[in-house]
Amino acid sequence: MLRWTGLLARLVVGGVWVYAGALKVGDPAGSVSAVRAYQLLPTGVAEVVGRTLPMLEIVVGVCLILGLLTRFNGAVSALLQVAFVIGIASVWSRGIEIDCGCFGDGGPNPDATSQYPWEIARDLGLMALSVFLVVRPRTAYAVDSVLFPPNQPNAETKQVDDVEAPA
Amino acid sequence: MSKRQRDLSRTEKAAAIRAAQAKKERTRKVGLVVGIVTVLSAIVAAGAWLGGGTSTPTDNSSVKVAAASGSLIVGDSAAPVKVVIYEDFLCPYCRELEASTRDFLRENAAKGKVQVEYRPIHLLKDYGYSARALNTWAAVLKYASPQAALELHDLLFEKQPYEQSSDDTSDADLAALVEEVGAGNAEVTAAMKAMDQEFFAAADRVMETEGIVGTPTVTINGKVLSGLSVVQLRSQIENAVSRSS
Repeated sequence: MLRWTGLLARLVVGGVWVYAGALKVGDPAGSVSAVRAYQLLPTGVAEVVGRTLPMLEIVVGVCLILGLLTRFNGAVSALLQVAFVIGIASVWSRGIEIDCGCFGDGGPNPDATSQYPWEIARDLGLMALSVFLVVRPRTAYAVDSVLFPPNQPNAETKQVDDVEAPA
Repeated sequence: MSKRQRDLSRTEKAAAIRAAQAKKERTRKVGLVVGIVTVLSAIVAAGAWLGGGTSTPTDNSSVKVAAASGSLIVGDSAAPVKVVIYEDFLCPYCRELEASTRDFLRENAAKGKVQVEYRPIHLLKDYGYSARALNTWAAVLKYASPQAALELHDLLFEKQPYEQSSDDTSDADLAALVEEVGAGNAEVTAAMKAMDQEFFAAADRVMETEGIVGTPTVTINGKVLSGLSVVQLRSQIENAVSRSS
């Protein structure tokens, strides 16, 4: 049962990441602007983060959908959500009204304050699903199951013993 | 050897083989994980690198630059497309427009396909930096070369501070940028000490007569572009330039 819940978590979180990354990857200048709009990171760092984020989001998303290094990518995903929640909480508390830039766009948005709670709630939900994948990385239909098969069944070991260790 | 002893050594051997196998399996797994993480990081790094189009300073040596009244004109006046960009040195969208159109416009200006007029204005009056940066630029435009003014214009956008922390950028920091573009002569330094009221009044008049209420405002052959987002402005500029050639 948990394996199927995990599959669902992977598809939801991974799908959101791929969607968010794909909307931004073609417009690096816009992505940098969206990060700068938070007025939080030193400008040089914001530049690098803005340029790196879209492809990172796509890669994490694709890995989660495939179930490749699920625990690792779940952890990266959860950490990114933590960073986004901090970012949104920070602009909210400083009274800066911007579009979160989560799915492209970014920049000033007069209606932002009413949206911040929902954005934080959404990110916390995605974070919870990511954490679930860190705790239970074994999920149904995952590439991980092929690359890293679970502990070999006893039968197999026994067979090897019989062949390799004749007394 | 008793049967008991035989059994014992047999179990020991089996355990040793199992341990060796487990070790091999662990090595394989670790190698695989390291390999996959390396490939994924390379993809992310490549994505970031491809997105970094403006990290190298623009080469302005092949374009014609002339100072006009309160503005800078880049490219030949015979160019079929004339673009005017009204911008504030502190406006984030202007920075983004610069980052995404500068190389394209300079290349095409050098080829005679477009003439660009950069007209910095004083829009963000709530922030002292907006005025200080504009005043610095005005001094360089007036008392140094147009080429230096163009380089300072580019540099001011590349080094644009955040609005909220723009007061942290001191006059000394601005003077350092002026030095960087080789315009730190005595006249410029003296002019930076006081606000050039005449220049600001002229800039305000331009805003009023042209009806500029926001930045960046872009006109192509006298027509104000309607696009709201920088991506829209950029594609309209690019379309206009490539259509005419």
